[in-house]
Amino acid sequence: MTEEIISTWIVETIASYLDIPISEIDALQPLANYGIDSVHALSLCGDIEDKFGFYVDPTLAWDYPTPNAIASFIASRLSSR
Amino acid sequence: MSVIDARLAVEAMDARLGDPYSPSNACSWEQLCRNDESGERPHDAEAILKEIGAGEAFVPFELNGSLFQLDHLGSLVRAVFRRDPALGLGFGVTSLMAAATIWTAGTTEQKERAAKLLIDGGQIAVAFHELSHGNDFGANEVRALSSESGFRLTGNKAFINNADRAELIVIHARTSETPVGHSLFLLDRTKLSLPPSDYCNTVGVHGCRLSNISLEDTAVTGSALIGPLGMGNSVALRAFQVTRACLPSMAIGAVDTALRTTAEFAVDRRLYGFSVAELPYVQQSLAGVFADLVASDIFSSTAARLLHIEPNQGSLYSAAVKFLVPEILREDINILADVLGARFYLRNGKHSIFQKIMRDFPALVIGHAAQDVCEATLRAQLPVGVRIEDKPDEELQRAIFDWNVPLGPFDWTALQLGASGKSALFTALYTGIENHTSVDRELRAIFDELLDLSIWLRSTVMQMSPRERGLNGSALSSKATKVYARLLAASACINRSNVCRSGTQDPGSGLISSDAWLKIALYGILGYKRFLHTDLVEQLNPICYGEIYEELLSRLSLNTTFDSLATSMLPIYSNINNKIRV
Ligand SMILES: Cc1cc2nc3c(=O)[nH]c(=O)nc-3n(C[C@H](O)[C@H](O)[C@H](O)COP(=O)(O)OP(=O)(O)OC[C@H]3O[C@@H](n4cnc5c(N)ncnc54)[C@H](O)[C@@H]3O)c2cc1C
Repeated sequence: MTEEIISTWIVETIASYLDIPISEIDALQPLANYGIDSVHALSLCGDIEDKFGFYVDPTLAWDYPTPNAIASFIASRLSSR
Repeated sequence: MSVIDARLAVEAMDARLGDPYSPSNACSWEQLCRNDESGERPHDAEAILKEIGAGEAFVPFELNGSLFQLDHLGSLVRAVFRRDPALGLGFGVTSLMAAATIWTAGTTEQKERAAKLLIDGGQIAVAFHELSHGNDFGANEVRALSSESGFRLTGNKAFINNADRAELIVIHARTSETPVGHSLFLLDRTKLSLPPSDYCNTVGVHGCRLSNISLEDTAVTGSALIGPLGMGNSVALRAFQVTRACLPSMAIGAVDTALRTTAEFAVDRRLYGFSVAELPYVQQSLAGVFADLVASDIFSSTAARLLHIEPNQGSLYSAAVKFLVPEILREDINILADVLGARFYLRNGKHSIFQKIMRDFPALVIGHAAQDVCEATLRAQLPVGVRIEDKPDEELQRAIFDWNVPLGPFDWTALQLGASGKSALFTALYTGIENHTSVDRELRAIFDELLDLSIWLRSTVMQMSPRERGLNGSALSSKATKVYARLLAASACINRSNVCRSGTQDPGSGLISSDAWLKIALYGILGYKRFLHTDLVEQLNPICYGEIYEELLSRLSLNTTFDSLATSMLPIYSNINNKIRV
């Protein structure tokens, strides 16, 4: 899976948490700007595990603040398997 | 460590705390009520705890303490909560919360220092709460600015238990403006000069002293940092999984005493020419509460065992226990208060410990992660929580529910912030029901209800929009969360019943293997009619209440506890100098 596809998936997922259109989320902007909180971060871990098959810590959303950064982290985890 | 060893440890503790009925004993109910009235700490009772080394129970074995298995930590400290919840909270529980963060992420030096303090009977304060932010500690404002020699701390913490006397303080402070901006510090109060603070006035827990901590550019060295910089919330939320699972288990002790007091009253009190205990509704109330206490013990002990066995799901199990058990116990106290009539309101006389428990109990619940916070933790992770194993590992299932399978020492570093993998406890709901041998019609009807609820839950969770899992979740997601926690509790009880039915000689197994107990326990867990649909179990057969009531009377006359261990409150214990190992 390419980073781009992963990033799009992240944007879609975050948009669904916040119930806002996908177009409102910029993959280069920190998620915190959109009001992502610690509860969303917990949700995101479960959704990432469902989709990609590995556990990530909820602190991921702070360590890799933008959708693109998260996507590149996930892509490198996937390619190292 | 076997169930028998766990019982011995509890009875050794009770032997040292002395006769709870003897007014001259510092750890008797009468004396502890008198302390409460005076608004002072129960100094004499605390001195006994210190003398017997009760603080060792909070310290891992490898640090010279006696903490080995978390399920036994809950049942052991429950003995203190049977005497007085405020004594348990004041002497120890907040120290355990603080220590948990150190065991999780502290340096060897920090661990050794904390271990020694607790073993010597001292306290560690846990200073998280700020008036402006309450449960939302991610917004906390006490600042720690890095300096050449370490950090400088400024700001106020409010309502901190033992802030006036704890030699060590674990404090939560902001170290940067980023989302990973909080860190934990271990302060040594002997090296600081903290300004005195007034005590907070509280409705209950008069034996605890809460006060504020004010820091004004207070310098600490870099070695005060607990865990990595910026990881304070992560460390705390992992460590608190342990306290969230264990605190409700301990709190069962308070309701044990409330039940004992009420049952004694009902048996003694004569109205209209017969005893109150002969009224069918009274028997049902008492039996129902008793069944709840055993169920709450089984659920919280199972969760504690799971923290050893399946730490990757710890965030779910611990939140489910902290979410559900206090609610069940709080309802139980209200049911008992109805039976006790006017006496539940009296502050003197034979039954006065009851009103004290009633006032103290809410503090145990608010103090550490409100029910709603636990609900939010569960709701966000429901899709993970309902994942089931296709091929459950039988060995693993046995280790969860057969309490004679010893667990290794608890690994504090194995806990993770979010849940992952599949849930052994949720899966066990299905295997537990499948393997249960009872043919009782009512019980099978309840099992069918549970299976229906689980199907409803799984399909609801699958269809739920991700937004509904957030903080402002809908009523539907809230119901799903409640059902989820209740199904986990049901799974624990059904599987424990299976173990007891398979011929184990564990104490209390006669009760737990009975259809009567399991029916009443599940009925209670399912919130009576709230989560049940069918008419079949609308009115449980009164005979099963009678069976449980008989067991209650027997435990009352033998002075044994109303939990699953059924230990003696008045043990004859000769080996009083043996070290208590949990
Ligand atoms: C006896 C006692 C001892 C204490 N000891 C200590 C101590 O030693 N150390 C310490 O740090 N603190 C201590 N505290 C304080 C305790 O930490 C706070 O009471 C606790 O953090 C809750 O804060 P709050 O009461 O301001 O409630 P708030 O957080 O203001 O909550 C208000 C309401 O909002 C709800 N709510 C909050 N968050 C959520 C959420 N995420 N989702 C849904 N609903 C939510 C709550 O359930 C509640 O109904 C103690 C308190 C008591 C009563």
